[in-house]
Amino acid sequence: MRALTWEGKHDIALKHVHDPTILNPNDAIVRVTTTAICGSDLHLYNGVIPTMEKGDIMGHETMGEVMEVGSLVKNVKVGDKIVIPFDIGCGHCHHCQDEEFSACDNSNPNFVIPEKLYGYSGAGLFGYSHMYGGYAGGQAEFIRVPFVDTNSLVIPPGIDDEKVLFLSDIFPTGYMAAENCNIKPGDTVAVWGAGPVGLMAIKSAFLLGAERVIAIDHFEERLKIAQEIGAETINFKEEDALTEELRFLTGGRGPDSCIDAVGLEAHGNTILNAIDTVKQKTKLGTDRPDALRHAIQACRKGGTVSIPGVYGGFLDKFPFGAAFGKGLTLKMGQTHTQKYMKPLLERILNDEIDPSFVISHRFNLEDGPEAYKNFNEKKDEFIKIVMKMQ
Amino acid sequence: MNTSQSPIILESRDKQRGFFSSTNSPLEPEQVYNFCQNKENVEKVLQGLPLDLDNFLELVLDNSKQAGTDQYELRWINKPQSKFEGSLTFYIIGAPANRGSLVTAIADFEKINFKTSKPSTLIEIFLRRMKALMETGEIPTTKGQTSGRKEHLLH
Repeated sequence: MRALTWEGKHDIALKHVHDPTILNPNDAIVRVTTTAICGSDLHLYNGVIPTMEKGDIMGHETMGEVMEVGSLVKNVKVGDKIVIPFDIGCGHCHHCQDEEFSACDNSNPNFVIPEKLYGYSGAGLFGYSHMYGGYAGGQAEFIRVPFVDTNSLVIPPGIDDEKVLFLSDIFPTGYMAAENCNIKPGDTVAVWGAGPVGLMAIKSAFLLGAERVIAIDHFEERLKIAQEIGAETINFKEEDALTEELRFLTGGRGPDSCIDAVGLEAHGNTILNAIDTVKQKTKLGTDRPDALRHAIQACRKGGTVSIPGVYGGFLDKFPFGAAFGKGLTLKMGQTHTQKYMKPLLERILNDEIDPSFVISHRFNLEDGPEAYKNFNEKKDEFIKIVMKMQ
Repeated sequence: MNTSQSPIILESRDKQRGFFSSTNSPLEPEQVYNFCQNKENVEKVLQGLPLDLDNFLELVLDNSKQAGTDQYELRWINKPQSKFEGSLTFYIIGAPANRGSLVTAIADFEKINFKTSKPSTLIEIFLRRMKALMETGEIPTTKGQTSGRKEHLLH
């Protein structure tokens, strides 16, 4: 089959590789119909996530048709159209039973690496380094799905892939980020990063009852979409005093909740971010948490900072004193996608939201390497790329 | 139950001279005990570990008993007259606050070829593979797949 593979930093290739096969009795093999490039794929592209290997298949936003199932599979059958969550839950461990699927005990065969780093290992992830299991990703013609009964949402016939594809990651991720804010009627939510997850968080915050959402970014085309879906916007590169501006916009109190949908590769215009950038490039540091610093600083006393943006290592100059002094609640982590897929599908079917509004470009798989390059350089107003299989 | 007061665990840790690892399972201690008594299960978990397993898979159940309420102990040993002596012991107790079971495995083998993995890591991997098999009916793997040419921790 053909697949997009990681060949090194800034090097994605279209390669012919072996087709996946059933390895375990709860597996399924799926013919991919539509897949997407996620902003977090760019962390791999930029080489800031360790334990990638040459030839690894990229991609964790995937859907397709079930071609083959293992002997223990009960809920999915050949011919079903399914959306595949990016995180892999076994469905049986304590965490999966509690719907904390991204904390699954059993799905990461390489659990030793994250356990050494983090104390405990999270779930395996599709196409996201060997630290997270080394599972082949979905930017390919076929994908093997372990524990498919848990890791699938069967889609009713007749629904366009683009309407439901983002149930695999960015819609649940944005929704969980907003849910973590415990939004009350009348609340104001500030969202750092108006990329796909940020845009989904904005939509979700409104769905959950926020009165106002303020989007913060520096790409005008993203801020324009944020405005179109009802957010007020701030271009942080045109704003010298972001915290003060947010205080002014919120009647002197500060946002009730702040969402960091940026993560470890922030593009801040601060001295601290310049230092982060040098440290990351010279391997003296791991993460560039400039958006998170701002979110903590700007959040009102007693508010919540929700972090769907990916972090990997150690954060320098992290304003923990501000978080403590203001009594903030911090909520974060990989999304428990499986928990949200079905209720969010209902919202799509009820026409409450059509997540395809984030799509800016449509390509075929062979366009993938160029698409990564342009997406990373934010050329041509790239926001969200989907790839259709021919 | 307070595990720190559990005589079975304290005793085993005091005496053990091999490598041990503990994990939790939501299953009841009796279910874990029954699973560990099945030789096929233990052998399935051992297969795939980076060990020189020649003359290793001759396990015989040496000791298997209920040691108290929600406390079980069982030991697999290598068949007598094998190339090397060794034992694999499980201690299973009820975990506190209705958290299922606390399972401890102790490996005590001599002359075994551990290849490049540390024995302490191997017993940890062994126990986690066993937990996965026990809870899900399979051992997660990517072996042989394009993105899973090798499983990192085993090399």
